[in-house]
Amino acid sequence: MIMPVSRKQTIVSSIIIILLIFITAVIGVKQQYYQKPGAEESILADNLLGDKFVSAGDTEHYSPANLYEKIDGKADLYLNNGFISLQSRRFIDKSTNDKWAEVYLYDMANGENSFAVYSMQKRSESEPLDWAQFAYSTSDALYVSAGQYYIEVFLSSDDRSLLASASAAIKNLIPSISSGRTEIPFLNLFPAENLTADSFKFINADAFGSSDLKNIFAAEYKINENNITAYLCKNKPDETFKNYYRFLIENGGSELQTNINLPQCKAVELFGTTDIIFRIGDYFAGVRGSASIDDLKQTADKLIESLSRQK
Amino acid sequence: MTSNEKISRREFIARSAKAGISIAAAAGVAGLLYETDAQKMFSTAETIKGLKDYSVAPIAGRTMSVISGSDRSLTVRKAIEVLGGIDRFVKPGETILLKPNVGFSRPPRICATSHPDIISEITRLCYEQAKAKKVYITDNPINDPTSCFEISQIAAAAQKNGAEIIMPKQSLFKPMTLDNGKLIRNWPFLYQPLANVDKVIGIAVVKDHARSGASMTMKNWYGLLGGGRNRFHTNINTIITELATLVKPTFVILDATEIMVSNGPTGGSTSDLKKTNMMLASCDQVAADSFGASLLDMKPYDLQYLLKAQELKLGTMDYQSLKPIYAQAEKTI
Repeated sequence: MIMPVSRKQTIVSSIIIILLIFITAVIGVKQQYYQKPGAEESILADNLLGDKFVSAGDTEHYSPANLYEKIDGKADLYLNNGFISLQSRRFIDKSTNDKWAEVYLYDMANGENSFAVYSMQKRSESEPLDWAQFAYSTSDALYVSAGQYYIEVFLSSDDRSLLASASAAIKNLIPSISSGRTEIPFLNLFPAENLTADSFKFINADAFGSSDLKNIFAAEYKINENNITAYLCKNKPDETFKNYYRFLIENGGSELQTNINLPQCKAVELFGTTDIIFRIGDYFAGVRGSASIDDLKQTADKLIESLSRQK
Repeated sequence: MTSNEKISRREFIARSAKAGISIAAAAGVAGLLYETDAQKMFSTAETIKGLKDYSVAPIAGRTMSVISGSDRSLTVRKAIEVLGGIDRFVKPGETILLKPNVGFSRPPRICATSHPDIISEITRLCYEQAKAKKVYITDNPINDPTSCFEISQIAAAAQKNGAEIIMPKQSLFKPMTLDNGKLIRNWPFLYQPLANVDKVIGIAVVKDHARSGASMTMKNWYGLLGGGRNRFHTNINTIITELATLVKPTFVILDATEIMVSNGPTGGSTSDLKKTNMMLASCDQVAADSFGASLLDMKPYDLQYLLKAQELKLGTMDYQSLKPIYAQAEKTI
């Protein structure tokens, strides 16, 4: 016998079905949040380090949601600079388990972000690697910014042969993940004369002790055996100029005279370091160091000349 | 349908079967999509409220020691010895929990983790001098626990000296609530290893830390948290202070033989390190971290969690007021 269905039953049933569909949709969306292990394609092939090495396991994949599970407190540095994903994999020497290299491949979305995290972590005791635009090694690690990727390789020990294997592997990997030279427009604004090779740096916050200086590009110059830092940014140039000048003066700086012919230009000496700061076009820029005012001015003039061409 | 309308037995069985299948299907799907977030695994009835106090009676002038030297076994031995020896802190037959920093799968020379030589020496002292019944070691690392304990060589140090490693299995976590705590409220905490021991010794290393400024003895307790603890990163100073309020250790060891001065807390290269050749033992974790801050070229008040901890009277930033015992363990290389 088929029972007649009342209108009330139909409505209640429909509500329940809609509710279930809604719950399923919410769960589905929430599940997207979680990384599915192994779901992504690995760039770090089994034989990345050559036949002498074997991978210790599958490539680990990390997203912005779980990057902290790999690098904990350091995750912020990447997350604040456009991080998309991380792949990491450890490779062990077949002849001895004590010898290994762990590769970290960060996808930073573009070359500028990759350069930012590369330069912010740059180790002072390092040797530049000539096979990549931005690369250096320490005794037990190597660091490369290649296109949108930032690569770190950590070694189990100070071992020249291990470093050579890792270096060759990354050198071979780069052409497959980036298209050669990375253009970072800001770096081209720094004049080439007297520039110290491989000295470019990005400082995302608290540059030179001032909370007013953020997202600064800097480079080192050597004039008459003195080191001079040139720096610039495009972020709120007027405000940055005023705030940084105020910071220098409020901390005991004394103003010096220069004959730089710009409407917004100041020279301030503070604790033996002199800053010549100026605003030109869309840029806030400056030079600083303990060199003579003439040497600083010479560097400032070159920087002004370069920035003037951009106006 | 009115109460007078009746259904046939066949119809009743068919409807019951459909209802049963629907329930089974719903339960099956629920099982597949079950949220494994640890925090939601506990009922509030199981919540633990605080830990016992593992500290020992203070002795004036024997609260903190700073030992110079590059051999960690020698310096840590001396650091404990000048505070009164291990038998001041550990009594025969007691069970001890060592809480090192095993956060990352990094080898000891990177100094991102506690050094195995310290684990070996303290374990040896507990067994041989203090006649401890059992020494346990635990941590809930950021990376895969097995790999962290192995690569840091803490597993080998434990095995060699008869300490037992307690891996952070889910069943060992209990929801913890700290009285007046803002963050530690019904939060998964690696409670079980602490529940049944008599003494707790924290073993940390001095490290630069991108979020908190520095990672030392107080930050080391972060490794007792479970769940999605990264959410605490936005309140890092509060969580460190709450952890230091929660854990009252017997004493802490702060390894400053080589300190990570940049790119912490993970580091990765020995180029991030600086040799300072010091080892601290302290009954006051705030004082130990204040001393450690100075090695990182910071003032104690640069670290907000130290200020908060001092306000809460968990210890003093003015470590000199404790009259630390300075000594040399060996000739510094």
